[in-house]
Amino acid sequence: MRHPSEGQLMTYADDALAAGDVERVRRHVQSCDRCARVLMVLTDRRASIASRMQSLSDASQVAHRPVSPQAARRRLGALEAQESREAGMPLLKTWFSKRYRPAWAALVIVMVLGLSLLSPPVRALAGNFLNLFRVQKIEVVAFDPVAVLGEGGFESAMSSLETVMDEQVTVSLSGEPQTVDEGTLRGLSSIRVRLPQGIEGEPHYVLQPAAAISVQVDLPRIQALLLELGYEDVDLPESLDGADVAVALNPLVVAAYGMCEPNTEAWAGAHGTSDFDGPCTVLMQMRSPTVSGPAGLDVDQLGQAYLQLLGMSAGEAQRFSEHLDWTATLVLPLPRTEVSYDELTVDGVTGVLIRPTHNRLPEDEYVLMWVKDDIVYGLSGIGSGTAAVQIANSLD
Amino acid sequence: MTTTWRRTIATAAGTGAPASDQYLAEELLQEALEQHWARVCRTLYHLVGDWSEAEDLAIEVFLRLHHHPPRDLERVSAWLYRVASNAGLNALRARKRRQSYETAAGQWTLQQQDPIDPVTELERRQDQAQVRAVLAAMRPRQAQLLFLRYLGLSYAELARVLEMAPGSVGTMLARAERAFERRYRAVEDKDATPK
Repeated sequence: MRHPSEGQLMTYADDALAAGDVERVRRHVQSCDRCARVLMVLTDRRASIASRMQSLSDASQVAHRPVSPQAARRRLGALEAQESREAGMPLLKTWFSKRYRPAWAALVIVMVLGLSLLSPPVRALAGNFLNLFRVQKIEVVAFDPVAVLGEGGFESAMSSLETVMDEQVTVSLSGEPQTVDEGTLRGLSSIRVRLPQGIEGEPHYVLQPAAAISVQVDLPRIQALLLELGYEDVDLPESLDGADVAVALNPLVVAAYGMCEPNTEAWAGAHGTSDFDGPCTVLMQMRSPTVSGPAGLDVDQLGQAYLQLLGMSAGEAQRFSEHLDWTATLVLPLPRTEVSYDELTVDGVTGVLIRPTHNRLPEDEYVLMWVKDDIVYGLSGIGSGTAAVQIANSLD
Repeated sequence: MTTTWRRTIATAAGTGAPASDQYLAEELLQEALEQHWARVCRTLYHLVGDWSEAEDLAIEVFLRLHHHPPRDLERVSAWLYRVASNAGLNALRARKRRQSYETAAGQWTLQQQDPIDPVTELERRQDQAQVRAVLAAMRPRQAQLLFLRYLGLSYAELARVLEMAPGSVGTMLARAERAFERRYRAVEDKDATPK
């Protein structure tokens, strides 16, 4: 007779085997020393673990009574009211809030991944350092945080990531954000500023100076983090360890229209933040950031690892990567449980319209992103997608 | 496969919101609280060992139930077990980063409760801390399976809660127990090594 599997023996030991199989396994174990030994190991181990798990119960569990369901409902209501107030924050502001800051730090890494597929001649020209990545288009990879990391796993991962980022990422700002007039914006040499025409509301302009982000990669630390998060099959290139990666962020121009005032105090230390008091339409524009990294880095492997983190299998990541120009594409990860998106034509190119999935506001918030002539644009506000596209198409 | 992946994305990004995006009706939420609140709190207490934290986590679990209920409302009980055990294990993993917590909590409890046999109580606290540390370090799904099994769930219930094939529960449990024992022994060996 064929030996029962370890799983069948486990099920037998736990009295959970189908009635028809119990007798068959029992007879086999009586006549098979090998299976009898396996069964003994399983039952001994089970007894040992059971006694250890028993330590999790204690006398206070019997004595303690949790608050009543009615009291729990009241606490739930208070928490929901608080969340509802927070939901009133404009989407873009929410995204740039402290909670999501690690996600944007992660985006820096995403941009680093964009260094992939560098051809040898170009690499030779670049010498020891590469300075090649420029955003020309945006590609969205929607992922399901719950499916990838389990319930609550995304928040936990973000928290872990924040710790690692604190140690490995340095941000240097070249100045403080400041409110400026239209003339100053028009006179900027680093970017030809475009502004919407015919939009309602008094404009406010803010200029965020350039910033430099440097990442010194501690590979063992990152690998430990991945293991902690349950990723056991993601390979990162060894050459990444100790690598210095630099991201240069160009000045960011922000124009806000409507019933709002810029809150520049909240901007300090958070390049890219759009913090305005009140609901308004906000247009951001920035020349594409550049990423520099050491030569010889296997960025294609890195790119595929990144896609695996978002839930793709190794094979899927490889196939997806084949169709992606990493040197020119900003791969934007969007949690599909939080937002939905559509691709559409805007400003003569293909853009991405992103909306929150659980919007409890009477009108929809939106974020519209597109890239044209080396400039990355982001438009956020409240209203329909059509209205968003009209504003974007009106840029001078 | 890439095509499949893209199709999945497109479906998720479409305009039709899935059923799970609808709020659970108030009367169903009340009913769920009446039936499951105390049990969810107890489950979480087993994991985190602190009633206040357990109730905070339970509130978050029911908040999730209210905002993102399961598609099949017949399975609320199984869904709650899954989400609660996940929330508890996540809390343990977060706690791993504050390693002194368990010791401090254990000492505080000893002072407060003035147990009859402080040595036995201290040993029990150390055992608890070790079990929780091992669960936090295990692969999430294995830790969840093991914890729920020792909480008393049957194979059929485990299959329903963790949405796995009933026939694979035994195999998965055997692996989880092996992983638990390996990690537990590693911690014991480390503690026994002369400093």
